[in-house]
Amino acid sequence: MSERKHLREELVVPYLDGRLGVEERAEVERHLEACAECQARVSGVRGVLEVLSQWEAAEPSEGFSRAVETRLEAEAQAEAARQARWVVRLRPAHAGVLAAAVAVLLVVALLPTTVERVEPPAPAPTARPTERAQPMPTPSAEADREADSGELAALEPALLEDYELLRDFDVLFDREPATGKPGTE
Amino acid sequence: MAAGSDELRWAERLQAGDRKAFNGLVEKYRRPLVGFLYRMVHDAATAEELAQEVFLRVYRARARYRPSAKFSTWLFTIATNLALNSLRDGRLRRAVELPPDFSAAPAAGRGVSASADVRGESFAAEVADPKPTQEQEMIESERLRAIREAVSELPEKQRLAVVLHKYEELDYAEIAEILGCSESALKSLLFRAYETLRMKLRPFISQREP
Repeated sequence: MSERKHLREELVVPYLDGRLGVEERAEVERHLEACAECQARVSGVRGVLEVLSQWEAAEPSEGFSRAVETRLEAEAQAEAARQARWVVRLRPAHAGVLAAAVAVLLVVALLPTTVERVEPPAPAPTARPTERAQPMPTPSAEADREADSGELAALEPALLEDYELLRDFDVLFDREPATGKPGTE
Repeated sequence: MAAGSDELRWAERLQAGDRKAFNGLVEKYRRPLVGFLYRMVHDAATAEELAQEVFLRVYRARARYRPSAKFSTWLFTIATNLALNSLRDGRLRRAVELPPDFSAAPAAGRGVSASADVRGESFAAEVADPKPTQEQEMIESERLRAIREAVSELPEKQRLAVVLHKYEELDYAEIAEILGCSESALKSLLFRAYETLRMKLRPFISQREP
């Protein structure tokens, strides 16, 4: 095997493509004049490129563009239907209740078992738990398990009603809010 | 490399959701795209389906297109990913025979001559014969089969490099970007791929002086 330096392989294709600079091309050609092995390699690649030229590709069908248009229309219609399903027109009152209910659900689901009580939204010094229609149950491990299992009896009726309202809306589960958490801004 | 001014205008209009601009891009790129995908997956129907999917994805992602990148680079990057997914899904059908609608016309009129024979020495293919004989058609058929098979047996990256370089005539920078490698690495990759093809297609390569 000759110890003569051969052409760097990354020069061969650009040489055949005519993409080498003037000086580099001259250098390659000088080498080729003196190196039969590199001559053969370059000639071989040139031959392959010629043979490959004979491979013709399939042409797009006549209906190609129309097919793309049709698929695009179908997608747009499907997307519009999906949007209509979850874009719900909430009344301002519902919007406020929705936000509060979701916040409470999250708190209940995430509170550690050592938390003993939940502060009411509008605490008043004279407000007593007995003034509520039903007292807020003391969070406990049992309540957490009930919440986890989907049992909602532990929640206040008002919240339960809101949950029923929310349950029918896909908005909580279909959209991708900025924070990644459902129901948050 | 900055995008051509026409392409840039189209791409900007596409970003704005202009369907006419999108249709213009479909008209311009459908042929090279189907060609590329056909050479990757070897099936015309699959190639067309994938090409349609490429355009749909382009439209869906139009807001993310950055005009500083060539639109064709973006397009072929999507096409590359879909082609590779399709191949990996095992939907590649090795076409042993030419598809029924594929013209088996020999290289007549293209000025190409090749010499190789079925015994592995040299076929002789007459050029510029407007009425190919049955033997010539068989030779042509065998050559095309050998080319398809040789290209399909290349490692993925080499195969992509060859198809994008030889048939789509993208420049080295574009191909390197699509393949995620340097230009220098791409040029070496191409050389190795063509060397491999040279060994496999030796019977079909004419003996010419360098």
